[in-house]
Amino acid sequence: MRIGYDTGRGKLEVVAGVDLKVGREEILGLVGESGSGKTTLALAVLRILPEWGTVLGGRILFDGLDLLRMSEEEMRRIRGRRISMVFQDPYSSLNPTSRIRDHFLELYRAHYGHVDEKEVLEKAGTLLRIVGVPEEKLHDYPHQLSGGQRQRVAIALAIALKPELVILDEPTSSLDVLVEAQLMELFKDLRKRERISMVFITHNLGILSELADRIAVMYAGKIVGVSPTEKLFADPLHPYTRALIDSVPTIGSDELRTISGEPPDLRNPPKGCRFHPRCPFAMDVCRVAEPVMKDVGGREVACHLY
Amino acid sequence: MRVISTDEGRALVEAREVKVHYKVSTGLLETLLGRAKVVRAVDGVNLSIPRGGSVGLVGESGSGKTTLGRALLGLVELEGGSVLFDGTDISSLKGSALKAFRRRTQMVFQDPYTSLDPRMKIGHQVEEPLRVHGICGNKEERRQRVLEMLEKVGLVPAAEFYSRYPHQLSGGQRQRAAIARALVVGPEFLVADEPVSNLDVSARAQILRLLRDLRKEMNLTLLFITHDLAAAWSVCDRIDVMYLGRIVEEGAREEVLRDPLHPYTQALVSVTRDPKRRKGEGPKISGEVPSPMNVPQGCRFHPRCPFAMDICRIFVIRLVSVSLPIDDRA
Ligand SMILES: Nc1ncnc2c1ncn2[C@@H]1O[C@H](COP(=O)(O)OP(=O)(O)OP(=O)(O)O)[C@@H](O)[C@H]1O
Ligand SMILES: Nc1ncnc2c1ncn2[C@@H]1O[C@H](COP(=O)(O)OP(=O)(O)O)[C@@H](O)[C@H]1O
Ligand code: SF4
Ligand SMILES: [Mg+2]
Ligand SMILES: [Mg+2]
Repeated sequence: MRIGYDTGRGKLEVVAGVDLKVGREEILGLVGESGSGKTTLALAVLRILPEWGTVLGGRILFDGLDLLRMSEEEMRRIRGRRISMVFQDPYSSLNPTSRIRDHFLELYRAHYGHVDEKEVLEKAGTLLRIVGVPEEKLHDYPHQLSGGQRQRVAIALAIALKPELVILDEPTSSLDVLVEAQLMELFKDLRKRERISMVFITHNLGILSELADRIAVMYAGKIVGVSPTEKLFADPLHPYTRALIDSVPTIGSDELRTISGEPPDLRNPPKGCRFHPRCPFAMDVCRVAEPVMKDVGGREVACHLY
Repeated sequence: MRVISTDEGRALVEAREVKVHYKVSTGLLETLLGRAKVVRAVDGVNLSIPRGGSVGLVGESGSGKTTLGRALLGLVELEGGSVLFDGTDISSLKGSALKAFRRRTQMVFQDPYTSLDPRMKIGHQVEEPLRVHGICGNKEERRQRVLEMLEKVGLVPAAEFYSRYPHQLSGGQRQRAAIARALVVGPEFLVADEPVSNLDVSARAQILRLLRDLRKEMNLTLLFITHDLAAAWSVCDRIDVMYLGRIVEEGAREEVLRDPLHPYTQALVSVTRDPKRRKGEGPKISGEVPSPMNVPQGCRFHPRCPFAMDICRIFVIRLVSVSLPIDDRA
């Protein structure tokens, strides 16, 4: 996958050669610093990039279908119904001027044409119960709900049509920690009950350690490694992944390691390994040759050390 | 009332039974009838920070952390109680004493976008407080002081960052600039309101480390507001846990974060995930923070508390001092 944004000052290749797979009923975590391209990648899968964003190359296969080759009409039938998305800010996915009930009605109408209102509202009520929002909130407007409730409603809408894949882009970053913990339980439950695959985008490693089956780490538009969750934390391979884990502060420890420097300017990314200016292990080869993804004991890693 | 006492001497900042209420009108009729609703944002708080001390104020959104921080800086009107700075009630400050207080106390905000002017060079923004407070006579001296400050917060090469605009900086760098702006006048007390909440893991670690280093280097007294307990651990020596306008637990960071007593603190600690370790079990807390317009009777945490007993629904609780034998601690 390669994706670019056309900025006033030239093309920006923000996703540069990414290969990723999500299995059925799997939760894949996607982590990386802000600006590393996580959201862009997600928008591309649903084909909802802004008009100045273009896929420069690559394919997106979903259940054997090549999404990039489908017509807009076919894509519309997939969006929401087979693949859906939850955004960081639930305000952006809820319409402030319509009641929660109308959000559900609209969703069902968009996909099934004429619908029986009573039936839809019954389903909506059940969905709200599943995500833990009082049913009577159906008749409220988004601003009458708390931030946590709004995000739960967005999740209910995302799972309403029983999609096979839900992409969650930092769904809990704007919420309080106790509400976040409640939502984590909800996600685990949904996977079990509704057999949904999820891509969970975040920069919070702690969350993923508990939720994800596998974790992909992204740096400056590239995936630097993919690993089963347990192994990633027990023994991280890539220097960036290691540094990322080490920079999470811990109760009980006064050690606070940092990654020096700043993520690169994507208009002019470093040659060779994109992490080399900040990498404590950088060798000569890192400055000239781009590392390729290798299989190391059941894990994938792109680094010259391996 | 419980006052922190340390060997470091008397309190630099002290809140005594501080109350801050906001009046919000819910409709025209209520306003006309003079029946505006009251948000009890801070509802009787005692807090004391010794000179050179660092208190982490933690709690969920809407618990009153920012309001309390602003109250300590004299930026909001008190409904009751008083704030003492260096032994003086700040409501009595006037003229030059007030101006000195404004210099000796500074604040850093969560969102450096809103605290920095997008149209002004970083150097000039950091310099502004020096001009306002008449520190450093001439222009060259001021520039020199700003460059030193930029260097101190890690914006190097300082000369280059001096002439950049906010949009040319990353989130972490903007927060460094905001910190430089607050510290350039040499304050004694800094309120840092969620300074890392909008930053990602790596920028967050850098800013935490910076605050920890600057605290020592400049002998700062710090109120660090956050909802990230591990972040509070990394820069603070004491922790105050706030819930719905009140402090529900207070103590040394080791006590509060490793051996929390209050069910609310226990819940917060148990959801603080450490990727290097598996998570511990804690009480399961349901629901969200109630509106401070409708504070529950009795213990204000009782509707969400899995241990709530009849007595919790009736009696207001006070902060009590509990000491456990050291051997009982993990
Ligand atoms: N200017 C205001 N007018 C009316 N109510 C206010 C005002 N500022 C804050 N409040 C209310 O006071 C309560 C405490 O707010 P405060 O901003 O102090 O909380 P906080 O703990 O800092 O929350 P957060 O973690 O979201 O920053 C909240 O219910 C808030 O809605
Ligand atoms: N709508 C957009 N137009 C132009 N550039 C964008 C847009 N959205 C993101 N970018 C740029 O693309 C890069 C990747 O951004 P994004 O996908 O949002 O990363 P992440 O989600 O990992 O934070 C960044 O350099 C960002 O500035
Ligand atoms: S390829 Fe080289 S520079 Fe890149 S992460 Fe590996 S060791 Fe570091
Ligand atoms: Mg994003
Ligand atoms: Mg606040």
